[in-house]
Amino acid sequence: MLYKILPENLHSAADRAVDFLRNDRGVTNFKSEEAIDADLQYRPTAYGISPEKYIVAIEVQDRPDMAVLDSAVLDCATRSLPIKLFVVFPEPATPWPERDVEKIHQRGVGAIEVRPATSVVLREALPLSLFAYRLDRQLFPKKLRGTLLDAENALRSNNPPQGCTILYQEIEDMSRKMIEKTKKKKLWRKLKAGEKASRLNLGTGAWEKVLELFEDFYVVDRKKVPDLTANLIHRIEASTSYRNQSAHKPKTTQERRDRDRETRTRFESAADLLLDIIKVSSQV
Amino acid sequence: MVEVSAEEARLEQIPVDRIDRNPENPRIIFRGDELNQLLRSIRTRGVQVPVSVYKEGARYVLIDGERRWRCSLKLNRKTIPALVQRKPDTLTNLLLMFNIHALREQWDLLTMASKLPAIIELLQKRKGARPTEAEISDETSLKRSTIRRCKLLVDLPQHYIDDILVELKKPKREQKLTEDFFIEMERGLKTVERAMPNVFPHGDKDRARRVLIKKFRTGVIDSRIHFRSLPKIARADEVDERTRRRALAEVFKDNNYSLAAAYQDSVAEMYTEKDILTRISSLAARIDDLEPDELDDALRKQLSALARRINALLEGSDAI
Repeated sequence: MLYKILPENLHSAADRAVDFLRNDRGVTNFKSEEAIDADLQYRPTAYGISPEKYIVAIEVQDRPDMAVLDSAVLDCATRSLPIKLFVVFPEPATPWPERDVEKIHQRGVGAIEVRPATSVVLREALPLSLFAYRLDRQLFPKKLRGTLLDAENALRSNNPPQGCTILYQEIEDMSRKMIEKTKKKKLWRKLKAGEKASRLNLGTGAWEKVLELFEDFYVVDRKKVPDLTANLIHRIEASTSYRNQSAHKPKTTQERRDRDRETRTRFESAADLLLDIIKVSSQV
Repeated sequence: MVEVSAEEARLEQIPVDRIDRNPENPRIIFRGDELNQLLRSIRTRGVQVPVSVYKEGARYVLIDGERRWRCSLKLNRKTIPALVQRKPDTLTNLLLMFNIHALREQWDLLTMASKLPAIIELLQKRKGARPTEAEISDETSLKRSTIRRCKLLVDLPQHYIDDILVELKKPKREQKLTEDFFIEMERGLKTVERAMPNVFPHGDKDRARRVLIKKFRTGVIDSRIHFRSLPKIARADEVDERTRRRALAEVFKDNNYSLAAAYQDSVAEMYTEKDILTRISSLAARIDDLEPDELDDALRKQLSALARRINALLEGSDAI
């Protein structure tokens, strides 16, 4: 490929990394030093499109560092650009310290070392469109933090919606417990004349049915449980519609961008909802 | 001195993508870490100093500002401020870049050295005679010492120039066989060649070069400054020529004999004596300026002690 910006001593490392991504990852349509997005203040050394419709970009450098990339990564994340970015560097005489490579990865960027015989992915790149999500695990009870970490890892893996699924599962579990508690504490209305008590098991019954029943029988009491509002119940109900959605495979990078943006928003709002349910549960 | 016609230049914002690098630009090495510093500055403050270009059809060719242009491309900037000048002829184009760049930036010497023969040839055509070092200096704004250093590099066999190029592409702190290494070595070898012809093994200067490089790589010669011993040994006419030849011949053999050892074994004593003599004459001149009533106790004490040491030395005694 032709490079105008890349120092000449790194041209072969760039070409070999491109070949590696073509052959090993099926990345196609590589372009060198062209703009990915007109408004993004960054041109990678090269970029192509992966079969999952991610833009796979490489930044070829002498060493693993983020000097050029910090603001580019931030820009990609805030614009929800579906980019997986790798820093590529030639194998040094003595390996770079592990912490240097890890520092890159903490910012969502992968690392590829170009060796004489092959290229080695030292760290996988995370989709930057999903990377800058808002979630503070410290706000959650300790026993939930492991699950949240699983959700985060899934979000940043090859199957981002799985991250949301983990959170929706937790929302359901916590909500069922909260609903059972409200019933036990007699926060439900009395049966109307001629009305039969439901035999639905609140712990195991169909989730939508449980929510319908709860909405029907729960009497909002702002004094006893100030945060268990109709609005919260509707938010829980709304989350069920996303839970079982299985999306088709994106056909373009724009579709991937829209999908990731939506996934990130869902992930963040699911985490917010979970936090609200935890708060309400402690009030019941 | 080349005339830069700034009056004819106009300042414009031109599309970064319509600029091409100047094929005559002697600068061939752009180290990543150096570009990164500029990149940060341009990201925060933009391009503060316009680049210089000339128009070539629908495109522009850079005269000055390749690093700014490269960084602007990297930052995906749409336009860059540029002084658009009249298209220069080949010699003016080259001299413009020397004058603009060499004065402002620390170019690699090889960068300049590689274009110097072309400049000399073009100047020769223009003047009808080979330009002197002073004339080259006037035209390029390079110091004469820099021109001489460039010539040492450009006269090297091509494979060493290739080695330097490989080295220059590395970050500065990782470079070992640097331009300065070759310059120090070549200066030393040149003096040896003049002062003691035939001292190289089989009369082969390049063989001596290879041995010295090997010794430097393996640490037998641990600093390029030690190459300064070569002229000192070769020119020390006060010392028996056979002793000096023997020391140099050993240095140019593939062994563990260092330049420091060769210096020590051949001419160190002579240079020490020479150094003492210089200091003595300098001290004597200072003493001549003193009057007996100017001597304070401390000075008097030190001079007495020195006199005693000198007497003891002259009488062949260790007792001081």
